[in-house]
Amino acid sequence: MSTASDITTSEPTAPGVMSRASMLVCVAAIVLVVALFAGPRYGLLLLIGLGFGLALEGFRFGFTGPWRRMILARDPSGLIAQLVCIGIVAMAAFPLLAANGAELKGAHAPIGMAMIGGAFVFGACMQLVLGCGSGTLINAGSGNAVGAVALPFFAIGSFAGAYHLSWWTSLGSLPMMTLSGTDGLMVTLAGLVALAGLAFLLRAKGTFHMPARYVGAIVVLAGLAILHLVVAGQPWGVVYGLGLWVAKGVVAVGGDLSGSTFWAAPANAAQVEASLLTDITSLTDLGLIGGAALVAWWRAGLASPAGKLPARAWLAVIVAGLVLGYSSRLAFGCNIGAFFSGIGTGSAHGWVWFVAAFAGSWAGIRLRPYLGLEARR
Amino acid sequence: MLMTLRAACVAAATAIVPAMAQAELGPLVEPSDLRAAMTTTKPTVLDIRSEDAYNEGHVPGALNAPYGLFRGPSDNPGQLVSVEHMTQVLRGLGIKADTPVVVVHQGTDQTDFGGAARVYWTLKTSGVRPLAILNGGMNAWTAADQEVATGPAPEVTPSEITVSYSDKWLATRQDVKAIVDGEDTAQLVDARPEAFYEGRTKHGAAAQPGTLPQSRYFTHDRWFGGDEPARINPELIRQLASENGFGQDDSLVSFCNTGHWAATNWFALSEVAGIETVRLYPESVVGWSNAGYDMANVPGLFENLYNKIFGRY
Repeated sequence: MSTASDITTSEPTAPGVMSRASMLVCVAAIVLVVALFAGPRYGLLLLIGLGFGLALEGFRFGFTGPWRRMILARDPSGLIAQLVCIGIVAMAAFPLLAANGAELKGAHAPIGMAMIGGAFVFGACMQLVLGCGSGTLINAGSGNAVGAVALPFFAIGSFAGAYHLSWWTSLGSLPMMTLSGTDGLMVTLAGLVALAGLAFLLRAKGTFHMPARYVGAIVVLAGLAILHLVVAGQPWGVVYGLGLWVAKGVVAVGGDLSGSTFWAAPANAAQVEASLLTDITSLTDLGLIGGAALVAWWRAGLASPAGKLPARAWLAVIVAGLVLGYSSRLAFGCNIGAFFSGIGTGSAHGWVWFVAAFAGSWAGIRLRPYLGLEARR
Repeated sequence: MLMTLRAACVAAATAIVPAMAQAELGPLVEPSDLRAAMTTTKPTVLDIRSEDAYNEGHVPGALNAPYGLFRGPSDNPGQLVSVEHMTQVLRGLGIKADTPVVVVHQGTDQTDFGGAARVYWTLKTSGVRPLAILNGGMNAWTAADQEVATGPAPEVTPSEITVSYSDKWLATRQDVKAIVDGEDTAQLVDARPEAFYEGRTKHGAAAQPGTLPQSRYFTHDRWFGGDEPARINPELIRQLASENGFGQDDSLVSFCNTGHWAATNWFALSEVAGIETVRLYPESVVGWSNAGYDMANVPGLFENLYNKIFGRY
């Protein structure tokens, strides 16, 4: 029985100074081209996306891994770091949203049966591919084969989930519940402190450590997320862009999206028609992939490890990718859209998402050995 | 023979009297002349301000027809409304082809005058004559201590008019394309300020900054004297027209962003300066740019980026 550690790699070589310099010039040129053709706001969004990618891969900070470590080893460090980061974003986002309600909107969504189910399933699948929304983009960008395979199926799943969304929400959802203003911020911060405290109390002895790279990640990600809100007028999200790419592809080959309430809605239909460079989430997603690829290349050159996983495992990855995309759409977001941005901008569904997804992660970790994704314990 | 001669004289006399009364209602009418006309020719007074402004006080007997009735959708405000819509509007106002109409605006400034000019142009193109604009608008009316009425509009008997647009004063997109392509000869005149003409700024609904190819610009507010931004001085207009190379035999097409300022230029050149062939391109640059046709003075990629970053548009 082969394991995930049974991987052959070619000898990596870090690129030299000239290569690195010209790569930076290339990246700057690409951002400039986007700014010239689509507008300065979109160039800036691509840059923010690159920043996210650089930070997540550069600081080796993510969402899936820390939850896995909490569940398996009761190491709460990464989870607490995420909660601190969200707290910082909330401290800026709540006042910004309160003062600029017309121009800025939060990541608000209704809690419902499908939303909770979707979050649970998402949490499970995220442990199967070892990546959530941003994680899959980062993995794909940095050359991880599992991430690269999961990504297109994630996109297809997201498209399909959006297509059917109105059916799922009709199963029953509550009216939108949002926290706002100073009271909302206090409640949010209290909730984050309580969750962090709980995680800390549940830790195994000697596991808690807050390395410098976590601190760096917290600061950079929070800063970029606040900047994203100001520049884009909406919080950082991941899943919409992926589904949009598939929607554009469907339309390009002659498909008809008028049968879907979601894709036929004026705003979404217009975005399918418009240039990719004017879609906020697409730009940050491309930036994420690019940023991760840049860091991976900078460190070690392009040498992607060809994983030797059994066929069963690859099938699981494909199915998990599809399910990740589909369920995140039902849940109104992935880790970024629902957990990070939802809680950070005062949506009640973010909290519910977290609980359901964390429970799902626990189930997903249990499921991994049976799917050949790691040695049975 | 004497009978026929007398009959002919009577016929001629009766024909001349109403014609003379009609000739008095020129392109512009002063408040005192309108007051007098209200007892003789009894024109339909059309107040194009908002309903609130109308209710606060209007010319006695005036009807309210807010400017928006004559304008297109928000993504192409200058678009000429359909003949069906115009027919409904004019029927509701009881206006027939030979109803004398006086257009009344607020009279605040040059841009406000443009609204009256645009409505005047729309009515003339719909075949309504004679037409006049109250010189100085409601502001001049109240300043001349004329009677102001309040309350709802008077009852109107709907008319049976069926509108069809004359092409004498109307330049369509195809007409302008023909001029730009060299198939037709006319001078395109941009009524906008220089910044718009040079492509340094643009209207929110326009696809890109710039102007129509081969055009010249003559900003609409130049027709007004510096000390009277809301009143038209016909002598000044005729003088400016001849000084600035607008000849009596010229073929001109007036345009701007949405055919509002351009209506002022059209009014000045066609109605006051008396140039025969002046047409208005109603949808103007907003319509033209969104149709994707060639434009002049469009900033390059870098200048465009600079303009967007520094908030010029």
